[in-house]
Amino acid sequence: MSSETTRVEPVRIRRRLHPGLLPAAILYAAVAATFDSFTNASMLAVGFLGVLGVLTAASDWPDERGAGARRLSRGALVWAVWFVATALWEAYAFLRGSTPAHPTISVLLDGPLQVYLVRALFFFGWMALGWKVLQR
Amino acid sequence: MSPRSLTIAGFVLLAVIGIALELWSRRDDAPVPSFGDVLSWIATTTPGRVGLMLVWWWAGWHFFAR
Repeated sequence: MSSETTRVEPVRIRRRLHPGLLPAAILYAAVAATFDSFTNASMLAVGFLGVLGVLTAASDWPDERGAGARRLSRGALVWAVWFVATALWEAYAFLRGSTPAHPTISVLLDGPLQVYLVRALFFFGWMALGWKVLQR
Repeated sequence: MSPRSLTIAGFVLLAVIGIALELWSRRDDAPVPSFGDVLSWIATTTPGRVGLMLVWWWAGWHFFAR
């Protein structure tokens, strides 16, 4: 019996978009957009995808994440500053009551998201964003 | 300028700055990484990936379910 061990190199897995996935995602968004907020159906539609996304992210996929990670330049701090500034501005509007006079982002989007087509497009965009994050 | 206009102007300004940063990051000599590079860096570890997905989930919950 050989005592040699074989080193298994990490294999990069490209999560290809299954041909049926795009139409399914469009259909899912089209149906989910018919659900009003604060309903069991809307919570189920978002909750299901959330659980699926988090479980997928937590699973140990044999790709080369980590080994091939790029170092970020100090310029990334600019993004951190931008993110904090956005969060502070949102917090300011929220603490002022999140009213029409001091609207948060969600208050600003409440109106447009009442329109079915806008809601469906935003829902699809949200799903696409999750997919892109999982691919990173 | 009303408080509403001022608040909205702040969000618009931040959005414009974000777009400008992203465009700047695409230049060859840019000292700033793209937003996607930052996300990729965060997603390097499992906790980072899970954290990103939780933020994504919260956003969906906030806008479509809450």
